[in-house]
Amino acid sequence: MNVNRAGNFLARTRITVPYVVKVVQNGKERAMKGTLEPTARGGDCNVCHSTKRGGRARKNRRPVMIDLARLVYVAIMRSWLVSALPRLAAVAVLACVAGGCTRVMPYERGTLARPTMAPGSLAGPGEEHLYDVHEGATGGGTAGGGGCGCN
Amino acid sequence: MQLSPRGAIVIVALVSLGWVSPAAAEGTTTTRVKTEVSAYQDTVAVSVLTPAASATVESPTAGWNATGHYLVDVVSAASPDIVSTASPRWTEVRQAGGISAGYKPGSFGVQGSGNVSYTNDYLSLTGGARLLLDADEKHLTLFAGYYFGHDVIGRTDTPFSVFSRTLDTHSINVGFTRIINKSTLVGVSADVILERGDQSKPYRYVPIFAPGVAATIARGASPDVISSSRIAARPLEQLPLARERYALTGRILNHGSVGTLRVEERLYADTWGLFGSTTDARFYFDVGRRLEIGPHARFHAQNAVSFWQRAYSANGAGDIPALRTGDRELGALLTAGGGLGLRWQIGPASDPQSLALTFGADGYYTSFADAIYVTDRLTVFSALGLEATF
Repeated sequence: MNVNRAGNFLARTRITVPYVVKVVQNGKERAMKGTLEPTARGGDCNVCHSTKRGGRARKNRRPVMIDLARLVYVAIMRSWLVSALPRLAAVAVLACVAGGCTRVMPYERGTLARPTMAPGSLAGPGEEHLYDVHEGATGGGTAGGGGCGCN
Repeated sequence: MQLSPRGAIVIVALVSLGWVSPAAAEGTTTTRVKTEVSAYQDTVAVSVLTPAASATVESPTAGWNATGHYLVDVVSAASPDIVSTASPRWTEVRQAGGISAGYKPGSFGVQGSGNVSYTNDYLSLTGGARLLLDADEKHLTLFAGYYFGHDVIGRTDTPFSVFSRTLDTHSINVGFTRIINKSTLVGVSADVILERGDQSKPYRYVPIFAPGVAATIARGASPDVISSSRIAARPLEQLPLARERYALTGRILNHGSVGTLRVEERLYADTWGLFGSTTDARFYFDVGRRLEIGPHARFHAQNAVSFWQRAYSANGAGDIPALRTGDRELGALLTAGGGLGLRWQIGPASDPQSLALTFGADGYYTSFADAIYVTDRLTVFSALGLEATF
C-alpha cells in the first residue's frame, strides 16, 4: 500500500488476519517481528504507534509550554464556570472555537470522518431545491473542514 | 458548431460519469454513484417529480475529488395564482447539471464548481471556487469562496433573442470549521450575495384595487373575490433591480453514544427589508449494523419585504405602485415541519456500506400571515435513493 505524506493509506479490500507489516522506503525495508492481529483495542497502527506510547509520533507533539498554558487556561475557566456557568456559557463556546478545547490526534478522528459529521449540508438535491423555493432566505449551504484530516 | 444548453448539460454529466472508471481502477480512490427520485406535492396544487443522479470519485489520502450531477424537474402547477388569471394547469421540465472538483494536497486547497440549469424560459449558469486553509494542526479550517451566476429570464416558447432579461449574482462566502474534540465540531459561515438585474416573474400579474377597496381585502381572499374587487389594470410584478442579501450561519455537530446530532441556525437579512431565521436539526442513530435512522426538524420564520402589500391600491393605471409583488415567499410566513430519513446498507457482509438504499419523507406546514388566495400550505416531500460505493 502506498501512503501519502501524512502516512495514511486508503484500501477498500479486506485484510486477512493475522498479517505481517513492513515499511519499504527508498529500497530499504524494515519489518515488524512476528504477525499481528486486531485486539480488543482495535487493529489500527496508531493503537501502539501513538504519543501515548512514545515513538516517532512524539516529535509532532506541541511544546510543553503550550500544554502548561492550556492547563492553566482550563483551570481558570473551570473555577470561573463553576461560579458563573449560565452567564458564561456563550463565552466558553467562543473560547473553544478560538483556541480549541481538546487536541484531537489524527488517529482519533474516526468519529469526525463519519458521513453524518460532514460539516456541509446533508440535504439531497430535491430537498435543497425545496428550501430554495419555499424560503425567502438563502445562504449557509457551504462549509469545509472536519473529517479525517487524512492528508 | 453551436452547443445548446441541454447538450451542454448532457455532456457535462457524461464526462463526469465517464471519469469514474479509470480513477476507480487505481484502487486508492473511492467512487460513489447515487441515484435519487424525489416527489413533491402541496395543497396549492403544485407537484414536482425529480429524478437525479450523481457520481463522485475521490482520494481522501491524495486530497482530490470530482463530482458530476444531473437532475430533471418535472413541475406541474395549478395554484390559485394561476387559476385567478384564467390560465390552465401548466407543466414544465427543468434540467440541471454540474461538475465540481477539488484538490487539497496538504493544508491548502481549492474546490471549484460549475452548474447549468435550463428550462424553456429560464437559463441559469453558475460557477466559482472556494479556497480552504487548514490551521492549528487541522483543528481549524478557514474557507472563502466566490461564485458568479448569470441568469437569462424569458417567456415560454419565445426565443431569448426576442424577449429576455438578465440577472447577475455575485456570491461571497467566508467561514470556518473548528474541531472542538474528537466527537464535536462547530462551523460558522457568512454569505454576501449581490443580485443585479430584473428578477420579476414575467407571468405574475398583481391585482390592483381602488383605495377604499384595498383595505377590505381579507387575508386568503379567494380568486372570485379578488376578480370582482380589483380594478381593470392588472400590471405584471415589478421587483427592485438590485438586492444585497446577507446570511450568517452557525452549526454544531456532535456524535454521542446514541448517534449524531446536527443543529444549524441561519440568520438572514437583505436590502429589500426581509429578515429571516431558519433552524434545522437532524439526529442520526444506528439501529443494528445496517440501518441508520435520521429524524429531522426545520423551522423558518420571516417578515415581509418592505414593499409588500396584501392588496395594492391605485386609482387607475397611472398611479400603480412602482414596486409590487404577489410572491408569497416575499411575504411574512412561518414554516414548521420535519420528517424521517432512513439509510439501509444492503451490501454484502464483507462490505455492507458498498450498497445502500436511502429514503426520506418530510412534511411542512406554512402559514402565510398576509397573503391573498391562500392562508396556509401543507407540503409532502419524499425521496428514494440508491447509493453504491466501490
